[in-house]
Amino acid sequence: MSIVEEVTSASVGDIILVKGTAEGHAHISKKVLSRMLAEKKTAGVYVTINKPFDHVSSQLEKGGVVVDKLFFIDAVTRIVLASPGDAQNCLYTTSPKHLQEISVALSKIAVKNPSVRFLVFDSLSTLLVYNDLASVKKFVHFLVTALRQLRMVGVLFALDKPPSELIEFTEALSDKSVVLGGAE
Amino acid sequence: MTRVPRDWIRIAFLFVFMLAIGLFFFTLPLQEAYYFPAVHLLFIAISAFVAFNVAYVIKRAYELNLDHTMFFLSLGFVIFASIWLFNAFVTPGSGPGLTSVFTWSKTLSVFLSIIVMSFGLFSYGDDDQNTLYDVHDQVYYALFVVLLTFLLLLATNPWIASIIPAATQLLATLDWIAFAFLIVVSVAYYKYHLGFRGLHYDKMSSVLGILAIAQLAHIFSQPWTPLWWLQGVLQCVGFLLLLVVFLKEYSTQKYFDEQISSWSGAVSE
Repeated sequence: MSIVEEVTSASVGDIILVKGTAEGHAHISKKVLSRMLAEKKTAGVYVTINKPFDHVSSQLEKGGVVVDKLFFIDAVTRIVLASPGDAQNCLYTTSPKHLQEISVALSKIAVKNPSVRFLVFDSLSTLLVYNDLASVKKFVHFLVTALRQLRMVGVLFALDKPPSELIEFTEALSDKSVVLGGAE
Repeated sequence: MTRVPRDWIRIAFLFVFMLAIGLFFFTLPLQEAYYFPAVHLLFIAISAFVAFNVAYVIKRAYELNLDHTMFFLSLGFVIFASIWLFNAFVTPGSGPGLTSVFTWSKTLSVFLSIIVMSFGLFSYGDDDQNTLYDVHDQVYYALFVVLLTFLLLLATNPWIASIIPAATQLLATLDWIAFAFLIVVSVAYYKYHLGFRGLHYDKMSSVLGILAIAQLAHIFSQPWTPLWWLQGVLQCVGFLLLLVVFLKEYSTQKYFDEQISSWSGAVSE
């Protein structure tokens, strides 16, 4: 089974860890999102810690992904831009350091929009640049529990090689883990 | 060059500010009474006004995040503001002696409000039950006016005023209980922060710590002495900080809600 099939065949409340290097990551996330949004006709949330919303959404659109049903939580733009432009499907949090803002935003989205069925987190490893390991572990535990309770599929990217303690911890909490760079 | 986190700069400013206030008060003869009833009336009235604003902003933030702990927090501040304003109005006007009504109101303002604030922490929140706390703004104003009117009637009635006991031992006990609750509630809010439940519970926890220090100053002070005045100053600083924190909380929650509602509307179309 290819990575994309493994991820998109997940059941309600499943957490999938996608680990490996950044190579091929953009391609896989495009394919996964395309299948989730177009074929499964669900709405979802994309939490971006690595790249700004403008960049991610334009890359996805270039790859043929219709992002109307995708809500972005952008934790990176406001590090450099105090007042980013207004986008209907994006919410800018203060910085990756403010994990509480991400959790509150996620809870609000789930309450206000029950059609949201999946979350893509890109990526857990970048959180370690701004937070200590213990805080990130607590956040991952919160995130996994919240996603299961909200009956959402969670796709958590962790791009780190060799695998860090965080990846091992997340893997223990996940239902499935796939490695980037394997058969697509 | 490593960038110093903004939070640390803020904490450093706050620390220096508090240290400056503390040093100023401790340069004064600690046993001497500084009897300025007009200043007391004005200062406490301003503090009460700030506390009422804190209650109002927390109530507005609660309407957005529906965290039931914030409902009780807001209610606690309304109670505090009412009794505190009452305390300003009954400032003794002749001589440094204190009426029992004045002393009781000082103790009860903190005691009753912190007890009410802690209700939210000891009751289990349930999204389905949030409607129970769906209180309209008018109820807040009514609670404030009724409580204040009741207290003023109580104080202006010479018979009632004469039968209220001084009961210093009981007051001291209530003061210590209020101090213990301030610490417990402060720790509980910090745990909420660690549990990713809210945006600014860490700051809320710190301010409750400042209010606990103010309560200690109250416990160990004699009326009108520098330590006694210090309590009022620390409380006022705490309320101003809370006002800033919850205004920020409210604006962030509002921004989140607007963005999510706008997208949800477009998706469901």
